[in-house]
Amino acid sequence: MRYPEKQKSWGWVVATYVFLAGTGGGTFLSSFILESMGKHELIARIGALLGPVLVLIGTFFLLADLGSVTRVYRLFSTSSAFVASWMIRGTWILTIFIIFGLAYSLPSFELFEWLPWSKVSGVGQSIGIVAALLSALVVIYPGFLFSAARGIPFWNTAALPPLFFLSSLEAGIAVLAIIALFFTANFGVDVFHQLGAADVGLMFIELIVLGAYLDTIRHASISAAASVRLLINPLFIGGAVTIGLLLPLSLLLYSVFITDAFLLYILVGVTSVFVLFGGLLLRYCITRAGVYVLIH
Amino acid sequence: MVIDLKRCNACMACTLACKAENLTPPDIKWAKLLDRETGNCPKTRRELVPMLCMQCNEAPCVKVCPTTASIKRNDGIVWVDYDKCIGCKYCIVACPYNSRYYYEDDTPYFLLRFTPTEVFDSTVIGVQKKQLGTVQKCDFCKHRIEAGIKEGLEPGVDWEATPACVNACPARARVFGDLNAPDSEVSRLKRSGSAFQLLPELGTEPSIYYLSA
Repeated sequence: MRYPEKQKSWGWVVATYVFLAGTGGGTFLSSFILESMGKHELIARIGALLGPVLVLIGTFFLLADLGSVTRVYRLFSTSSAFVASWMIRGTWILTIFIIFGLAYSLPSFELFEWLPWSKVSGVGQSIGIVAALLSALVVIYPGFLFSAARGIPFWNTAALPPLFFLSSLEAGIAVLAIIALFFTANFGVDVFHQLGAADVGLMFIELIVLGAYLDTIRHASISAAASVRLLINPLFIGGAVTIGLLLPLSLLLYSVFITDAFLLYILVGVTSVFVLFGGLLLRYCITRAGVYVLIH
Repeated sequence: MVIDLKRCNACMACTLACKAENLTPPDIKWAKLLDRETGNCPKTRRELVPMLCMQCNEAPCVKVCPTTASIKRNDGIVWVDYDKCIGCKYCIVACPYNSRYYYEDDTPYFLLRFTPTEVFDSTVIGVQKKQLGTVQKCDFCKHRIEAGIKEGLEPGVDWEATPACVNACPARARVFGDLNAPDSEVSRLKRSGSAFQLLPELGTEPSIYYLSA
């Protein structure tokens, strides 16, 4: 290794898993918050189901990346590793979240009304609170998974968990906005203005975190600087930052002044897709830009 | 282990001996040389540093392993149990020394057929059989050490109980022994003024010390 060496172990499969897990958690968390506020019940109901489903799809990507999938049961049979490894903590968090999330959301659909508890019952509410707490952990955990990798200074930083957390929450709200587009007959334009406002706030904070993270870490070490150099490429700047953050931010700010419903729907649909696309690219680019610490 | 960089002349005998002893797959070398530049201009120098698993006392790979396939044994060796490894590669991104390798390609050395060493049942000599889809790394020739101790031999002193790379070095640059024993040769060398570890600031506490050139 004469020069800093890129990591080659984790690629788009891990990035997709992390993206789906974070988006699913964010979708559920936002849905739960909407339901607790008593707003837009229809969207929240679907979002609460879609959240665990997205996380479940994400876990298939995780399994696809494993070298020995047949041994994956070991993730559940090992208890001592729970103390230190974020991967095993994440496995448990995701699994229990999927179970509780589905248990909370399924009874509100006719197909599953035979389940002995309902959303509004005491049992249902408790399941919901546990699922909501877990969904917050689901959103937080991928950042810690990456930041625990001591071999890669670009990842081994406190800035990564907040970045992934914010991105996942944004993506969750974007999913809710897409769901709302299917039911525009039931809602006015208010729901889109509210979801858009939430996303705008999150995007501002994420831009600050991302900017601070990249500008600080490139002075921290040679390999981190190499990582930032690798990161600044058209896919990241054009995809993750412009399409994923700057464009949606501007479009959503503009949408505050729009009262024409049809134009608003198109704008919201486009920005939501952009946010999701940008979230996936953000994780992919950060994964691929990981450079090992230079041995001096 | 202590490696004297004054003596090392980068002949790579350690790399070959390790490969022959542990029967590693074609693209994987557990013992290798790190090619780096040291010193400040104009007194820069190219230095080749023998690298292997540092068998860290605070091993990051052990901390991140989700199935406890990677463990730190009582004798200090960080060992990967291939039967438990699920191939998530978390340990590879966690290791700052690039000492871990993912075995994903079982293409033999020569495309037409396997060589006798590749089909050799390595479990006969006690080496763990390599499994596709798992992570592997240097284990200080644990099979030699264990077999030697069973026969009452001392690792680092007796040839049969010592890692292959230590035996192979023609310049006698490598010294193997018990760092916990204060009067062993490795402890004595570790206390000498020129001993250093790689990346000590990461808090990994590697068990390999280098004597500076």
